[in-house]
Amino acid sequence: MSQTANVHPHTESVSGMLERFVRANRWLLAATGALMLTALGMAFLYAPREQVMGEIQRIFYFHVASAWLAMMAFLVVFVGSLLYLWKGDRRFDRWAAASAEIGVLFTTIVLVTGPLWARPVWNTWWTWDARLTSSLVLWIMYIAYLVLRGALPESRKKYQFSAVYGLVAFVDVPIVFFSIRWWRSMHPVVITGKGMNLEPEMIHTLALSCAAFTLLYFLLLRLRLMVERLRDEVQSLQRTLLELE
Amino acid sequence: MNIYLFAGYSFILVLIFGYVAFLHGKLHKLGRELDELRDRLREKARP
Amino acid sequence: MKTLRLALWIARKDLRLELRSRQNFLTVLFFAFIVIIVFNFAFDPGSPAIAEVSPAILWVAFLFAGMLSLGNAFAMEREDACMLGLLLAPVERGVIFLGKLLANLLFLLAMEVVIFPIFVIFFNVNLRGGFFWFLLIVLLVDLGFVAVGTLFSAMTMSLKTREVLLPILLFPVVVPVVIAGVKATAGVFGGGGLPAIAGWLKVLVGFDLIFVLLCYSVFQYVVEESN
Repeated sequence: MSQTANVHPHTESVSGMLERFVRANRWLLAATGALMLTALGMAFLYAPREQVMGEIQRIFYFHVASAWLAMMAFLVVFVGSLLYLWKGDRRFDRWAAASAEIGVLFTTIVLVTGPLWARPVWNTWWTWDARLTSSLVLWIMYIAYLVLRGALPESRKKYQFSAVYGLVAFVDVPIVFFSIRWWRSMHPVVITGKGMNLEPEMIHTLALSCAAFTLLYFLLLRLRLMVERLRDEVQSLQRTLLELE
Repeated sequence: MNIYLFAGYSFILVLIFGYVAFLHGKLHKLGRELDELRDRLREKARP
Repeated sequence: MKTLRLALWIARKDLRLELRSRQNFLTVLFFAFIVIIVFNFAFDPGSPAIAEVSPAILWVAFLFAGMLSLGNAFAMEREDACMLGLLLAPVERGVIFLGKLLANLLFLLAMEVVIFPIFVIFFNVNLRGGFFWFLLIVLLVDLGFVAVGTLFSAMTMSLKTREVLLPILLFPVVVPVVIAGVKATAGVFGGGGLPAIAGWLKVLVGFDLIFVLLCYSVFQYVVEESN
């Protein structure tokens, strides 16, 4: 029970746990909330309207910030997987599992906001744009990671196999990006990538959005880790019960 | 503001808050499981 | 050296087994026919679009063959708990990987040898002396595909959902190899020589080097007593 530090044995209720979480993370919560609201405000009020694309371009800030968050998340999956294979500490695998889920969530956001942006601007839902296509492959890759985890019963084998896949997948990521980008570069450019006229206000807004999403990532990660630790606790109790029967 | 922009931001917010709600639900469900398991363990220890 | 001989022995053992033989061949052959015929229905005979699409069709057939070959990669070990026996032998895990890799690779190549002539006939392919390059491309793509596939095959060996899981795990990871294979093949079919495909060859060689090494190194983590 030593690893489940956030669960007081025998007495703590879930509401108690949540209270403690909010108290322990109050600065992170406040900062994330503030930055997210500011980013939203900047996206609509501070950043100018884009000359060619119009209002839809405002999705750019959260679209890119989501992609940034997803890459951070998948990097953590990689580091967690590597460390787990090296050290065998379940804590690293928990980071990987939690992070993969969050990464998939935000890649989904990228994959939905991308077409929503493409449709009014280029009159097509899917442009086979290099970055979007790579995001699609990444999305499938990490969904596969989650499916693999789901298919394996709780055991060291599960954590180990997941770690192997997490490792292989991330090593592949740059190669995927490169090969897709190169594939795209060979085609006559019908749709000019993200041909935006970038004003300085836009860059400020983008930077702030990325900062806000960075904090959001850590907040979600901590929440998700708490869930994972609880699952471990339930697991170990189930095992104890099984032994006693 | 056009419909696509609205759809985009709405989707983002729904997903983020939806995920938090999902985790919240997970926590409660696991908490109930934990309580149930602890009760069963306590009964084992009694006789 | 000893490692190589051991790997070859494992490969030969696998290839001799009936589980891999006729049924797979027939299934793959049948699928290749269907794919080729159905795709041709979509085009006017002699349309230039066919030449553009044909490399992709070829690789769809090849990849299907690859998936089938991988699906059986550890079938025998599954059936008779032979994996335990294999692991108890004083053989380094990486060697088992290499042996399996070789067997899977040869099996895939054998099926491709059967598919390709059919393809040439129906698509009227004229390789114009680019056959050597085509062979190289196929070998490189197969190697990368089978390296990752053997690793994942071992991982999913004991799972009920392995037939669904293996493709989901494998395909996103081998995307670079598939793109390179299709584009390079298109280059060769189009008559361009080395310059048309040099870049893609580099991608393939890079991928193969990285992933054969990586999968070899981590194979030990996916073959454990409990598998």
